[in-house]
Amino acid sequence: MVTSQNNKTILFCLLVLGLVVLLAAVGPHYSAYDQKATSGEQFSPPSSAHWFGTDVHGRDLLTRVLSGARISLLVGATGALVSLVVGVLYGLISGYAGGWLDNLMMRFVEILYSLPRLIVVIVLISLFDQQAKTWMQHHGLAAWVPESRLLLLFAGLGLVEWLTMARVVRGQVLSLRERAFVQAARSMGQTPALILLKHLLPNLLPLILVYLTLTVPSVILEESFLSFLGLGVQAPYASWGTLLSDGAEMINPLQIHWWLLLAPASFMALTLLAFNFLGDALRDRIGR
Amino acid sequence: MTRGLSLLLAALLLGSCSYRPADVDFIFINGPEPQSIDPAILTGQPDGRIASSVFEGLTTHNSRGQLIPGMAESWKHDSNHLVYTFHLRDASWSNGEKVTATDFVGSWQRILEPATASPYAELLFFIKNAEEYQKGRLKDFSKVGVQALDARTLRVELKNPTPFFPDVAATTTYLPAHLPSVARYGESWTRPEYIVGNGPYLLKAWKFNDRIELERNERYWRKEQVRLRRIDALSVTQSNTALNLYLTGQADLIIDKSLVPPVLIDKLRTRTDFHAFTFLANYFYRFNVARPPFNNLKIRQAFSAAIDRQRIVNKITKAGELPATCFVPPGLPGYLASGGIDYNPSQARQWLAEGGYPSGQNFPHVELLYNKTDLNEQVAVEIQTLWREVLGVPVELKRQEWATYFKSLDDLDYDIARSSWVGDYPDPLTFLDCFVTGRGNNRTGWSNAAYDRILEQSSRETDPARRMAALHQAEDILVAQECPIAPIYFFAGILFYDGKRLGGIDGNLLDEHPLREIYWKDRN
Amino acid sequence: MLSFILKRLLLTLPVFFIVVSGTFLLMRLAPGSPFGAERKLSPENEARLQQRFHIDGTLGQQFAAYWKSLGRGDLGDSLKYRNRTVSEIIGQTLPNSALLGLGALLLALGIGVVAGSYSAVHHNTARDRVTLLLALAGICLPSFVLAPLLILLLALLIPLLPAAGWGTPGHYILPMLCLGLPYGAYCTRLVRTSMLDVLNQDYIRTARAKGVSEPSVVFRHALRVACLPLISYAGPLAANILTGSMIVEAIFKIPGLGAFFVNAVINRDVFLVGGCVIVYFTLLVFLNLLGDILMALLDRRIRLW
Repeated sequence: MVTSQNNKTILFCLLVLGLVVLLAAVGPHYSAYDQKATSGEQFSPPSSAHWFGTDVHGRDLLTRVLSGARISLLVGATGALVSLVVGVLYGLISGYAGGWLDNLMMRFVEILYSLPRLIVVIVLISLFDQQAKTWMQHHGLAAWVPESRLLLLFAGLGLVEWLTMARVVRGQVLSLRERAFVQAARSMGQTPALILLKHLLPNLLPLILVYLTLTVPSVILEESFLSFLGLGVQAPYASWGTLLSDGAEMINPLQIHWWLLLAPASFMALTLLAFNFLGDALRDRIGR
Repeated sequence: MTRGLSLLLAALLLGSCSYRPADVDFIFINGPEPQSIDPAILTGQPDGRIASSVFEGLTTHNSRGQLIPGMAESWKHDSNHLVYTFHLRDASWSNGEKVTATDFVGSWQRILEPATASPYAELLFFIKNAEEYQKGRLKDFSKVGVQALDARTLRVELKNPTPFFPDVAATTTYLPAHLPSVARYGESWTRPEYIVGNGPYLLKAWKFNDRIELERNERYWRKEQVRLRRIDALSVTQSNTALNLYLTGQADLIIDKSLVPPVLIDKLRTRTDFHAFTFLANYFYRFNVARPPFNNLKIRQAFSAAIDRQRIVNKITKAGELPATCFVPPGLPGYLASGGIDYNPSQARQWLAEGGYPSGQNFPHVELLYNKTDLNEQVAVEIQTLWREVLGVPVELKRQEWATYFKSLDDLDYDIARSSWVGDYPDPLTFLDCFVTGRGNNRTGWSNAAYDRILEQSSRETDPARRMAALHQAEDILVAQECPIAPIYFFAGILFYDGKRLGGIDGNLLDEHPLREIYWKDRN
Repeated sequence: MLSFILKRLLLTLPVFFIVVSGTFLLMRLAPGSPFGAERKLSPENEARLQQRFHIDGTLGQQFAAYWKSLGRGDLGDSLKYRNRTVSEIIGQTLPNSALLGLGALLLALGIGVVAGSYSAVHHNTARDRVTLLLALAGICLPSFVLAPLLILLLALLIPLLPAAGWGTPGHYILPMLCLGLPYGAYCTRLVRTSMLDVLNQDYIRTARAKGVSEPSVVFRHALRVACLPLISYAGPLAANILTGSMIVEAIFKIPGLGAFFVNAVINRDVFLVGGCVIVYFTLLVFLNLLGDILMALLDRRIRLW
């Protein structure tokens, strides 16, 4: 297959992603502006002073996008991790077991799906805000997560992000387990755990990978929805999701401050593009 | 394939002209979906606008916000403004029954009935013994100061001299309900299929979260003056959507000021269809006086003096709002506003130092609470910056959603909180009343015996000039001496309509725009 | 198959109980009162209203009262929109949301199948990459970004479609696009991946070697199996579309259930939230069941019953 091009793609994508993470981690330090610093230059378009322009408070957009990257990347990583670890495992077990266990496990998924996410997060915040604050101070996370409520938001999102992955993996396993090679392994007396890990998982990898690349944007946008309702990122901090929604509000026929949408959208698009192509290249590599 | 596509496009283009229902004379954007138009239950302005179109009280307003006769064709009062006698005109409900004085007595009784749990019952407390009856201390309604002397004469005895009582009688709480319908249908009596009203319009249909359809009431006593036959009131929550509907001709008027996108106001202000006016509402921050650090007067003063109000109205709100240093908005006849604390950075720093935190050193962690709207957030971010720059104090922003926010306010679980207050009637009392000790709307933990006493005495004062002076004194305590609140600006009402084509609507202090007055200039 | 369906429905009943109870308890545990307002309600009035709506007393009492009324088939009254029952609100607004959601769902699935297979079949060519980029654009442009863009282009600058509102076919197009296109992008990615997988399978190669025409290979053999992940995804997809519809409904001023639902949570309108959850749950269960049956029918190897 086109291995060398594959490798180049993988390397390139990793590079881009690494760059984004680096920018998110240290970019705001090196910026001339504090992401909270308001100024009189409202809504100025991109210029040499402000590469991505300014917003309604005169804050530098580039700095805000980079600071927002921290939260969005964290949210995305959390969603991806939970999806990967919990979702895949759950789906594997449910699909392979079949019968009553599958029924039971999928019904539990339905329960978590049906409970309104919004109220879960509201209750989580009201019940555990204090504990979350102390936990955060203990672990010194303040630089990356500006406040304790975000932690609870992650928890709330994490609770549901694995559900779809579980369902999709389960569907695939239902099909795969009837295949010849699985039957053969079973007749050879291999334990279910071994079958799952050695035979099924590799076949599921393409699907898992592509689904991961879909989970990340989905959870970033979910966070933006909750922030929009007042539960997530707090002013004056931002995330890509909130910057996107703020930018989208600016689109109207009278005056368009296009840079407010372009900045977060392009960073998000770049990251997701790299992520997606990486996933594809990995899939090509691992696949037959 | 291409033929099909072009046919589709053609159909769409042709159809695009008629995205507006043909039989409706006038469409306006009312605001968020009304919760109820029952005068005993309603609290919001969108609700009130519909209710005031379907029902008419003793008095009402014209398009300039001036008081005019409604169901009462005349009224007189005694020399002390304690007893009012209203003479009702010959008017009928939409089902033909006559409007009588008993309708009013019964409607007000219904609101004062403890079981009704009416949120605005306290507006009726001007009436003698009304409060006692509502709180359950009095069981006999005949002792309450409202009686029907005969079918068309209503006598109202007030608790205190109230020269502005006819204005109060024009509020939505005083609207009459059709009691036989209430008796028959219970709380459902306001449904379109059951409702009976005495106002200029009838409720034709109520499509949830879409529109309320109004139709001219042919039995209304001055229906010749009502020129619009069919009106639709749209429920909209997004300001961009409201603007789009207006710009594409699907709406003729945007009446709710919160539906004008704040970031566009700069651009919109230059248009001829943009109309802004000051009205009786105040945007202010509350301090939690019950706990440190804001139990310290100097600190409250410092924080208030660090707010550059002019900057807020110039940079953020931009609709021509007036910066506010006092609580009562300007424009009330006979009332001289008090002067409170204005932007003064050096004075602010000095006060902070006197309060024990020179240059903001070691200032405890405090939070600014607000509920999520774009405007609240933008104002909060600016003021947060001001406090940081002027005082050196980093205040954390805390945004809560609606229900949690009110709980925090009620539980006094905040440091500083964003608030607003809209006056119910054109008198300073509607504002100053909030901060009497223990009032539900106080929500600051502030209590001042002198303030309470002055307000109480002023309510018994018969000379209007002395009464206004007393109110002025009280406000002085509130905004200049004790400062449990930091007023920021007076709201500007915004109306969006084409003044060349639409008449009968004006900006006014009460933000009252009765639908019966509106008309198209190019039709008769 | 019948026993499978019965087994599923059997377990669905306790799940229903857990979901509805859980929602009720969460709503009553959340801070804030349904009657909170800028103008504070007096404690006596608050107590009376709580009594009227049976949300007074202990949590257990409220819980029992709620289930009793559900048992009678009464979904309760709205606490905020007085004198409206929950059934009424749902009855008037659900059809609109359902219509919108259905259109968006079909659009998303349709785009997914067509674009996904197209992309997979032309793997590693320019067509594949362009489709991928378009899909990525769809993922990065969620409905709340797409909506103002489309409105600007197709309703304001070129007055082709209405900017907001509901009622005519013209009103339907933009919201459906805004809601469906982003998910169409997700579906495209899913179908593409699984299609690529399937196309590399031995039995496909065998079919090709046997001389079966390419379109037949793709559509008759590969697509059936490649759609499996999409079918698993359809249930959650519908759920997402329904909750995502809130934003689209608000922007396009569509009188649907989504907007009521989110506002009901924020207003602590417990019975309205309960009613909405019941509706969504029923839909989810139905779609998951349908999806499972469809999966088993499409891929004969799958043994569900």
